[in-house]
Amino acid sequence: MDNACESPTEKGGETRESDEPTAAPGGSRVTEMDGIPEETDGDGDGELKEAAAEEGELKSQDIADLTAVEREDSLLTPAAKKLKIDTKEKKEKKQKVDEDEIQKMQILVSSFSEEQLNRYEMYRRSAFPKAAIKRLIQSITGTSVSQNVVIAMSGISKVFVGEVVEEALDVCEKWGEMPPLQPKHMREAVRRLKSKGQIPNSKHKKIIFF
Amino acid sequence: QGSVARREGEFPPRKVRCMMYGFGDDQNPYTESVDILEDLVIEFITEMTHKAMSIGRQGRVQVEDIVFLIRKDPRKFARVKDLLTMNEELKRARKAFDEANYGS
Repeated sequence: MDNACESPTEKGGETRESDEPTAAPGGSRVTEMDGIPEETDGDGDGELKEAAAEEGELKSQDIADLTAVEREDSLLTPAAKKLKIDTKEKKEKKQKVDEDEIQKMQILVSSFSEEQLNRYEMYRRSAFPKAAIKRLIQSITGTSVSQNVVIAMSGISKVFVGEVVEEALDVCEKWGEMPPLQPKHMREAVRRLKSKGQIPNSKHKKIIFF
Repeated sequence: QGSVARREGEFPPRKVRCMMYGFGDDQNPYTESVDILEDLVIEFITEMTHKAMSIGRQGRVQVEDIVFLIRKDPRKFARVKDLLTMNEELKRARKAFDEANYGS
C-alpha cells in the first residue's frame, strides 16, 4: 500500500504511547527522554485541548496569587489566610484532575483502532526539525537565538498547523466534501482564521477611523 | 520568501505530511495542500520573529517576547508553557543523573 506516513522505524524498540505508563519527573507526561520532548501533552481531541488550555491559564494565575499572598505572610488577616488555603486546595484539586485526565487518556488510547493508533502516533511524533527552525529565525534576526526560543517557536508552529488543518477539515465537511484536503479548503480556512485574528499579519494598514 | 526557504530544503515535506495526517487529514494529503501549509508555517514564523524583534529588547528574539505575543491565544500559550516547563524538568533530571554517575 502506498503510504506517505508510515510509523517511524528509525528508533527501533521504542514502545508505543498506549503501552507506556506515565513515567518521567514530576508526574509529567513525557514519553521520550532523548533530548528535548517534541510531543508532551496528552490531548487527543479538541475538548481535551481546551481543558488543558484553561488549566494553563488558571495555573499561571494561581502562581501569581500564591506569590502575592506569601509576600504578605506576616500580616495575614483571616481573609488572606482563607485565600491561601483556597489556592492550595485548588492546586491539589488540579493535580487530581491531571491524574484523572492521564487515566482517561490511557483508557482512550487503549481502545483505539489500528488506524486511530497510527494517526495518534503521527500526531504525537511529528515535529518540525529544530535545525531548520533555528536557521529560519536566525536568517531573519541576523543574530543567534537561544534554544528555548527554538523550542517555543516549533511548538507553536505545530499548534498553528493543527489549527489550520482542523479549520480546513471543518470547511471540507461543511462543503460536503471528503478529505484529502484540497487547496481551496486550506485557503478558506486561512481566510476564516485571519478574520478571527488567529493569523498574524502585519502587512496591511489597519484603518481605525473613517 | 516562502519558496526560497523551501528550495533550500528547510522543511522536509514528509514531516509536514505526517503532521497533517496526525491532525486529521488523509493518510496521503495532496502535495499542493502540503505546499500551502508549508508556506503558511514559514510565513507564521517570519511574522512572529519580526514582531518579537520589535518588542522588548530590540533586534533580538527572546522567549518572553514570544510568550507575550501569544498571550491571547490560549492553546499556543498553554503549549509554550508546557514545553518550557518540561524542558526545565528534563534539564534538572539530566543534571541530577550526571552528578549521581560522575560526581559534580
